[in-house]
Amino acid sequence: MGIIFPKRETFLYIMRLKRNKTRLPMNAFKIFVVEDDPFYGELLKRHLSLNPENQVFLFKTGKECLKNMYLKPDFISLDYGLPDISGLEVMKKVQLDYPNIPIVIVSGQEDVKTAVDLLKGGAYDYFTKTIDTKDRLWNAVNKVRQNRQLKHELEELKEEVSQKYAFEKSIIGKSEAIKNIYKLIEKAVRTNITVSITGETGTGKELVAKAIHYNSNRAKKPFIAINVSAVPRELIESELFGYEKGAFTGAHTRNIGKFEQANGGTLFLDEIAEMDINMQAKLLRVLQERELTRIGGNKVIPITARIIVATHRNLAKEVQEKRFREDLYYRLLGLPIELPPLRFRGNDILILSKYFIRQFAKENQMKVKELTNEARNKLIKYPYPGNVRELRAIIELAMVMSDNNVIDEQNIIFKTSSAVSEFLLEETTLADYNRKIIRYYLNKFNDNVVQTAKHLNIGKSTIYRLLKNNEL
Amino acid sequence: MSEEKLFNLDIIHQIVGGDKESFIEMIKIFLDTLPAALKKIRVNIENQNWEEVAKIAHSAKSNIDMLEIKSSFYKIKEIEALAKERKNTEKIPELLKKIETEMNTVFEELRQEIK
Repeated sequence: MGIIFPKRETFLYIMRLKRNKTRLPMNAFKIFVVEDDPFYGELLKRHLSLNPENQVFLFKTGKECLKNMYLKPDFISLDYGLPDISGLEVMKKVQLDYPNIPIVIVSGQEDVKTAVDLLKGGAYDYFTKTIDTKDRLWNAVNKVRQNRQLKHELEELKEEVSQKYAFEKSIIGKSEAIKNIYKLIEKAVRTNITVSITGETGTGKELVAKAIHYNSNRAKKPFIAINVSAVPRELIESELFGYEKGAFTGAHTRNIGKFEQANGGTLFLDEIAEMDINMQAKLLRVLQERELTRIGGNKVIPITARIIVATHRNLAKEVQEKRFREDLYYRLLGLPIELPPLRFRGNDILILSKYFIRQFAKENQMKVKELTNEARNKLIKYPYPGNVRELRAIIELAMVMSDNNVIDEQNIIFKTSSAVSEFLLEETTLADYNRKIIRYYLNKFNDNVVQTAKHLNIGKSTIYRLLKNNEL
Repeated sequence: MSEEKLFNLDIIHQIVGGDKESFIEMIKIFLDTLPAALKKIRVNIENQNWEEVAKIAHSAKSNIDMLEIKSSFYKIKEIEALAKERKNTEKIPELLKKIETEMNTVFEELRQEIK
């Protein structure tokens, strides 16, 4: 017995679909079976209808098939020997208006030449009528369905990514500082200008770069990021420009560099200030020429990537101190976006906290927890040397530490080791801070007033006066 | 499959999945299609319209194959080939007669199946 249907997995798949109606797609997969033999046609129709996601139409003539093309089938099974028009002719007519519909020719002819001609003519496949035809047809339909689904999923994913980086969603906040950033991003999105992003660690430089990319007309092209400080100095050139096979010991294959990978898209060079001065010269040349040559190669490759750079350092200062080339600085400056530290973003801290609470709850199937007033105050007062990244870590820890539906101040744990942060947490007056600083140095220099005054660059009399008034 | 039977209905059973009504419907379509096709072949043999004989035999062949009616399958395949080549066409009436005899038994047994 050569009958194989229903295979166990096919059977289980159908049962699952029947059980779980919610999985049915909004639009059925439309199949045309064009077959003049009533028994054979009915057999194919019923067989393909076993999958409830398929909607199968049976036509007995070529004319009937062409008349119903307005239904826009997703797949056509076409008998080669139709009574009115030949299968080949029907296929050609369908292809004129609907070149992307897969057409499988089913025929009793076991003629190789006919099969080759049909496949060359654009048939998706060619089956001779045997007892296994229905199974081969079933597999062909499934393959087309899967491809369609994959394409659909890919489109959805692309959409999801661009949605994720829709900047109102990715860069959270309502402070004036962040509103200014929105305005700058909007300007960057509309053009291809190079963008230089600065900001302390954890302020979201890469997020801004992605928001620019995914909201620009380059969104469907690649976003390639490289952290200059994370790549060893001797490897950065090959990472950026690529190399040809045999360019150096160990170059067993050709390697495409980041500039080429970002073709038509965006190349994000993070921590650009850490780039070696010699490499800076090479980068400058490439940016000026808008073309590069892979290491060990001769072919000149044009650069079509948009450049976004970022650093946590002050690049202008780096230039002054001769650590960064001035010409490269101006080449890269483009549209500067300076991201504010979180401590200057006021109420954004609470907006972000709520966002991270919801996100963490969703990811971990937990209930959303409320912040108590004390917890809010504690969060607002903290200076966040690690910025948004640190806030996120604090909130995630608080979500874990809280045993009920609220996050109180005990659950807010600051892990920073920065003495300055602790110091600032006291939130006292400038005069008080001054006294504390002077006291600190007096202790350090064994109450030596002259040494302390010299170190702090203040007058000795200031210290004596404070001592006299018992203010220290 | 019973040993005595000339045909195998597994394919229909699997497609209709235990639905008696659909099973009867499919058998009826077979009983409407095949006898008519054999009749057409006979008429066209008498008219020596070999092209049409080959065409109908080709179509009927797939259906006979579906029910695994082996001996008739090989005979109708031969009719198709001879008619297509227009070679030894004198053998065709005898081949058809044998098919008709066998198929009449098949038709009768199928009618019993759906009673």
